[in-house]
This record gives sequence, C-alpha cells and structure tokens, in this order.
Amino acid sequence: MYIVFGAIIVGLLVALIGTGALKSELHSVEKKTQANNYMVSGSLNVVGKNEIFLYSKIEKKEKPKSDN
Amino acid sequence: MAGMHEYECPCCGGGLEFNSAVQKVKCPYCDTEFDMDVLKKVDEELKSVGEDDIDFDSTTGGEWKDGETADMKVYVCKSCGGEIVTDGTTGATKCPYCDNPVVMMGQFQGGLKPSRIIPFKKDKAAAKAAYLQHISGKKLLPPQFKDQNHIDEIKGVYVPFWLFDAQANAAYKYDATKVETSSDEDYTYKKTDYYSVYRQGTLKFKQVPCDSSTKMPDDLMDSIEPFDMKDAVEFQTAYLAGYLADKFDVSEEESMERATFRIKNSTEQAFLQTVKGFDTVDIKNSSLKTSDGKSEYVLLPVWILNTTYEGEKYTFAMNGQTGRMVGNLPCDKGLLKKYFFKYFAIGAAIGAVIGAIVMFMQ
Repeated sequence: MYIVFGAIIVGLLVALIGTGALKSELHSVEKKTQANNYMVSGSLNVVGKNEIFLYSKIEKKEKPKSDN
Repeated sequence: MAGMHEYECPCCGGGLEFNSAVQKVKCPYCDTEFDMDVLKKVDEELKSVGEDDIDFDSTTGGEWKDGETADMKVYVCKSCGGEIVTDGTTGATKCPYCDNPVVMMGQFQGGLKPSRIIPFKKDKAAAKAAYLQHISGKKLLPPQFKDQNHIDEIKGVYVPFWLFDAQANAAYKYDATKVETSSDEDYTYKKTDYYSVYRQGTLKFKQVPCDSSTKMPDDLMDSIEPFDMKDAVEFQTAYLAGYLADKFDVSEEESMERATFRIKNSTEQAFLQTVKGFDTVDIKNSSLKTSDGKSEYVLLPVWILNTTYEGEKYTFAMNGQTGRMVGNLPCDKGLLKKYFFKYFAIGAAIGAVIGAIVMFMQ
C-alpha cells in the first residue's frame, strides 16, 4: 500500500515539477510590475517608524494521550 | 508636415547607414565612414535652408472615406521616385523599391524631438545568432519549428520610450504578529502577539522606462530591459539612417500611469523589507505620492524578429544595446506528454523505494 501510494504521489510531483520547468523555458515575455532596477541606490530614507504591541492571544491544544 | 531625408554619401551618392560596429555612419556601397559630428552639421544646414528644401509629397486619394487617411502619410523617395506609404508615427524606414534608408525629418522636430538616443551596439548578425541561441536546447520546442524555421523578417527599430524620474513619498501601516510555541506534559501552547507597525519615508527612482509606441507590445519591451543610459547620446536624425523608427503615440500622461504602478509596487516591497522580526506582516493601509517628477523622451534600439509557425506569428525582440533576446515559443504537446510520463516513471521509482523503506521501518 505504502509502495503504490508513494510511487503515485512522488511520480506526479516529479512529473509536474519537471514538465513545469521545461514549459517555463519557452516563456520569456512578461509584463514588468516592479521598478527595482531603477531605484537609486541608498535613497531609501525611513523618516517615521513605530511598532506598537496591541495584545496577545494564547491557544491551548491538548496532547493526544496513549492508552499505555 | 513631415519632410523626408536621405543621408546621401558625398563620395558615391549611395544611402548612408549607421554602422553599430564602428559607431559611425558608413556608406554600404563605397565603405566611406563619417563622424556623427559631420552629419550633425549636415542636419543643421538642412534646418537652416528651411521649408523650400524639403522634398516630399503628401497626398490623399479622392476614393478614401472621411478619416481613413487621417493617420497615413505618403512620401516620394528622393532616390527612385517610388511612393512610400507609412502610418502617422513612422520616423525612419527603407524605400520598398530601392531599399534606400530614409528619415522622416518632421517626425523628430520641435516638441516631438527626442532628447537622447542609444545607438545600436548589436548588428543584424548578432540578432540572428541570439535568436538561434534562444531556440536551442528547448526540450519542448516542436522540432519542426527549428527545422522549418525561416525568419520572416529582422528589423532594427528605434523605439520611442518615456523615462521617468520620481521620488516616492510613502506611508504604510501593517498588521504584524510574533508567534511562540511551547508545551508541557499535557498541552501545546501557541502564543500570538499582535502589533501595529508604521513606516514612512521616501525612495528615489531614476529613468523608469515605458515604451510609448502602440505598435510595440508592452510586455515584449518590458522583457528586454534594462537599457544602460550611460551609452545614450544627444539625438541626431543621422543615427536613424538604415533603421526603422517611430515617434511616440502614447502620451506622457498615459505612460506615467504605468511607471507609477511599477514605482508603487517596488516602494511597497522596499518598505516591507524594513519591517523585521515578525512572523507575519500584512499591509493594512498605504499612501503614496510622487514628487520631483521628471520625464525624458528617448529612442532606444531594438531588433525585432518575426517568424510564422503553423499559421501563427511569433515575435521576438532583442535589446540592441545589451543583446538580451526574448520571445515566447510554441510547446509540442506530444513532447510534453512524453516528458510527463518519463518524469512520472522516474518519480514513481523513487516513491516506491521511499514507500518500501517506510513500510520496512514499521
């Protein structure tokens, strides 16, 4: 059971990643959404900053107990 | 009205072309080379002569419907007398009859004149070589695409671009959390601390490019970036000789919207990187204003290659300065299936071994 399950899952993963990588080789045209290449180096000037603590929340989860 | 000009060789009368290898204007017939300064003087002389020296004929046929010719121009080639029909934005082309390079002078005069130009550094042979390199080693490319591949057209085009300088003045408010987990004998605990984070500041951008020709797909032009403006020189129409060129038909305002969109995204990313030490950070509010905005109209060199495969047109572009080549390629579905099953078989074998180990360990 583990063998068949493992073979299908890993097989599908390798096939999807592998063919996805090959398909991406064919695609080189994309609209740019960033202007990172045109930032003036060292020009980032943070003049105002703060980090205010608001509140805390604690979630408690019981550990599964063995019958032994 | 636009006039047309051919840079004729003073030695043999042939049409001069800008040669990217020697970075001078060269006669392809007698190989005489001319410095750009000489051609600049020719330009100035041409301007000083005035309207009477402009040799063109712009006509509209009586049979055209109203408005049909509004964006069309007809020129007469000075070399052979052939009629050259172009659209309203063409700034340089070649005569379809005698192949002489011609420059439509009026397209780059007055307020339409580009301030700078990057002359072509890569020639047609380099564009062809880059294309062949681009299509090699692609496993899913149909073999017929390579075997039957004939490039329909390779053309060197000076594409109009707007370059924008701006300072982004931004403010961001983030929701952030820090998460700690601990446990004792009976329970596991997850403590989440919630924070409100604020950042405000400025970031400068220089020469963000936006192509300003509707003939050029925006994604294609974006993909051949960046251009290095250090190679840019003062615009002279002589650089256009031998190439195609367009004037802008996308306004500065429209282009600015695209540039601002890119500036906004990059500013957001840059400020986000200053928020450190948290496990999650989400933007709650943001505001961005630009100041110190400046724009520049320039012409940048691009090689365009067209090919047709199974009735579909594929367009490739190469940065005429850096040689960066881009263009989407077709995918062979048969090969895709073949590689899918091949990789599935390899993965399945590895998965079966892992499964056997897991089973053995239990």
